[in-house]
Amino acid sequence: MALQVIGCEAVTQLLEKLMAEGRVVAPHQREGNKQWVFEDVKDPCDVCLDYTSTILPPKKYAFPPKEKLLHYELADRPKMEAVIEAEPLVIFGAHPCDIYGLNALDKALCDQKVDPNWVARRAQIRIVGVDCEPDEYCFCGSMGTASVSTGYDLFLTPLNGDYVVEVATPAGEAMMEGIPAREASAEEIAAVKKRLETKLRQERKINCDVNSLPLHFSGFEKSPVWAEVAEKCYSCGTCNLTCPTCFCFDVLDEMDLSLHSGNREREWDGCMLEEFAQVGSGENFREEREDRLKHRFFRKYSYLFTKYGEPYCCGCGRCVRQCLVHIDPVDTINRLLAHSGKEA
Amino acid sequence: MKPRVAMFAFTCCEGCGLAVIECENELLDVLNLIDLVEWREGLSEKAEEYDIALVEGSISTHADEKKIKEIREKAKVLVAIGACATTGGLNALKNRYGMHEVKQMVYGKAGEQFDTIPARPLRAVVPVDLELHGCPIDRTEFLRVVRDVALGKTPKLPDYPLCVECKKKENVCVFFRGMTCMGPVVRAGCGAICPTFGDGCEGCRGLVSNPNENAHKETLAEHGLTVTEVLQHFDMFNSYTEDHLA
Amino acid sequence: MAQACQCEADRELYVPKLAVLDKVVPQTELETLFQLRFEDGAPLGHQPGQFVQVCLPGIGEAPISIASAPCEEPHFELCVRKVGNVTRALHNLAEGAYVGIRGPFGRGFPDDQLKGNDVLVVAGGIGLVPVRPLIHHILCNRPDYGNFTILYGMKRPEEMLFRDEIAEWESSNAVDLQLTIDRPHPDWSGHVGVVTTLFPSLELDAPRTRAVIVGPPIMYQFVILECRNKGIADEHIILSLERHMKCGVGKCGHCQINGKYVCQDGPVFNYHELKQLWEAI
Repeated sequence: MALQVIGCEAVTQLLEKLMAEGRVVAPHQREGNKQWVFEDVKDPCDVCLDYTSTILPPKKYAFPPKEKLLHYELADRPKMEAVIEAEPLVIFGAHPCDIYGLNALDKALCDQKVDPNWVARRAQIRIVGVDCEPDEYCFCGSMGTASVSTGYDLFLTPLNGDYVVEVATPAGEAMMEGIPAREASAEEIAAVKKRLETKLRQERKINCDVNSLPLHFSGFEKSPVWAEVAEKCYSCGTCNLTCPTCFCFDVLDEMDLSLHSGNREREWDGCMLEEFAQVGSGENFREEREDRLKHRFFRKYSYLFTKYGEPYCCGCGRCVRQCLVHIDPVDTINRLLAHSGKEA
Repeated sequence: MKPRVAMFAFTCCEGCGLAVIECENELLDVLNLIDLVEWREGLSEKAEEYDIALVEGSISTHADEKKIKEIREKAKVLVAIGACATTGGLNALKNRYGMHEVKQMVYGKAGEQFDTIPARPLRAVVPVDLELHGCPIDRTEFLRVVRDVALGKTPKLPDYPLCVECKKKENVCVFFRGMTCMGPVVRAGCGAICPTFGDGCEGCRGLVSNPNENAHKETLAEHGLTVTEVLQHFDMFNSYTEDHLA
Repeated sequence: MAQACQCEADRELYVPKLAVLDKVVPQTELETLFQLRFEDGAPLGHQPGQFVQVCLPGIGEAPISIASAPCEEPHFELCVRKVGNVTRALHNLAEGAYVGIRGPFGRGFPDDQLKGNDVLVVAGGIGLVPVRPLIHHILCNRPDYGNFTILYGMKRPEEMLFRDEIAEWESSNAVDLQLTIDRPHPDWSGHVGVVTTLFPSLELDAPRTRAVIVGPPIMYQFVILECRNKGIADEHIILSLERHMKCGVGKCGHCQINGKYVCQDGPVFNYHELKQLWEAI
């Protein structure tokens, strides 16, 4: 489909049009050093499309931190019914890495047994992507996630104060109806391509090809690097909870104080937390920080990569950006690579 | 039959009792689940018999010690509520001084007439079945515990750092606002209330079972705290140690 | 929407189906056998070695191994140890009560690999429960299998499960049952020593033998060693592993062992698969 160009005012118009149709969420700035969050748009002027990364990825709209799965009413014969809360929603201003994250979760959550709550929400979400300027923590260049080819309805690339718009789906086409746009020139199309090339020139890089990660990881099991990195790890789960491709959860029963009815809920969990692999008898299969850290890395760059054919890391850098002890996947993987190189 | 519940207070501000009184909307539901039989702050009745004792405050006098042992004998379940009862809380700060010195400092010459011993959390004196943390306790958590006990469930209380709750709420990290926080080593369960309202966590719920204290000392230092300030951060609610009792 | 997943989802994935508790049979101080059937009379449709999620509304869900064989449908049995909230609450239920069930889940014992071969079952403690459906299944279809041996080890005699059945097995020609307890006990006249001490006197036709091992984690490495010493091939050593499955459908991540989900790839694995997984045993 031909690329179009819209001005800044048209973006506001687009937002207003979408808001008139229903709920729209977009990045907003928060107090603090370079902190943004996705939240409901009340005034298009508050939306900040020129941001590096939000604290939580937009995943939170398709897979909320806590959600009901089941409602029950106690009686001699208890009643139980599925709860699937979904509503039409536009995620406006998602970066390619976060779109990649949503696409990755589509695969994992629809594999074999399809997660009904995820699918119901995803079916009602429309996505307007926006291209970004990576900061010093981003490593999408290494992960091959600096751009995505699916998972959005519209994609905006900033260019000299305007936006080049890619309409990717019929839903995207409907969004653009009535928004003043012109066709992109050959120079503008070239500039979009050039922008991606510039974006890929990131200083922090993983020192191997992304597709060779599972192979490399097969040699990392006994690396001393894990213990070194784990020594400073809090096991606080921040990396899990801010990750666009993490989807582990806990299931708990929340009953009303009346003890007559309640809900079964799921809540985000994290494999870095100490009790994650504990079983009923009390045995903990990943008791040490090092085991949990190693598991997280293997899950991202080996297990799920092997299972689904792509890395479960989108290079967004949230884990290191939010980590108070600066545990950095790029640095950790490079140390693992360097160390295994020495051994070989 | 509904369990008979008695609430007692030792050395503390009785703010945890107040937190229970503040469950205004839920108090009637709570009374459907339990029989409150003694509670100085909320009832005029006294009771000789009860099943569950909810106890706030630290043990810091000989009289406290005698009374908590009596309570332990009578109660089938003893629940420590609030920082004073679970960690020794602020009261334990006095333990690093001699008791004579403490009395002098606070009351001058008149101090000698007071009975004071180093402050201890309940579990240092009697076996405790359940600890509800916080200064004060978290209302939602309290209600959840009441409900679970009524259901015959062992309540599941978090033993992971506060960061988990901050992230789920998408709070801007306190450190990124130029302040400091004990969250990475402190037990969650309060819904990260202080960071949510703009303050750093001071650790009133106590440290998690396996805190990475060294990492946190480095983080605090990296964010400009001196060694003394770092230790003060750790000590505020968590200074209790058996070493001070000798 | 953005061309994301167009998958057909099962709306009821996380909704338990109601079963009625028909019979409660006490076993030991901690364990009880519960006999259930679905309200609608439908069979559970499981294979030996699979598990279900037992759901008590308000209390929670817990993964429990199925203790009965498919040939006993429409009833199915769960033998449960009181360890957590759900299992304790289950023990408080009276006959006639409703219990929510999700499942069956997971991969059971590979019957096609057992058929026509000698089967050696090694069970430790409560490990007898997950393997009981297989024992029943083999006994129901006895001519399909070769020699059938069960080694069952307990810490103390009072921990013995399914006493009546065990007495039957002991007196039956269909199976060679050997019992042992870890330490001498006044009420015990049989073999004493951990379950591996039964191995030296075992006569096995190693290439024909399929070993099925279920017990506490500590038992596995020792029993595997004995099996290998006897010459049983790694792929013929079959184990069932315990993890805390929270969803049962390969999503929640709790039961993961390296790249495997116990709830989907297991709980039954052979040792050839497991020896590459350092988190397994």
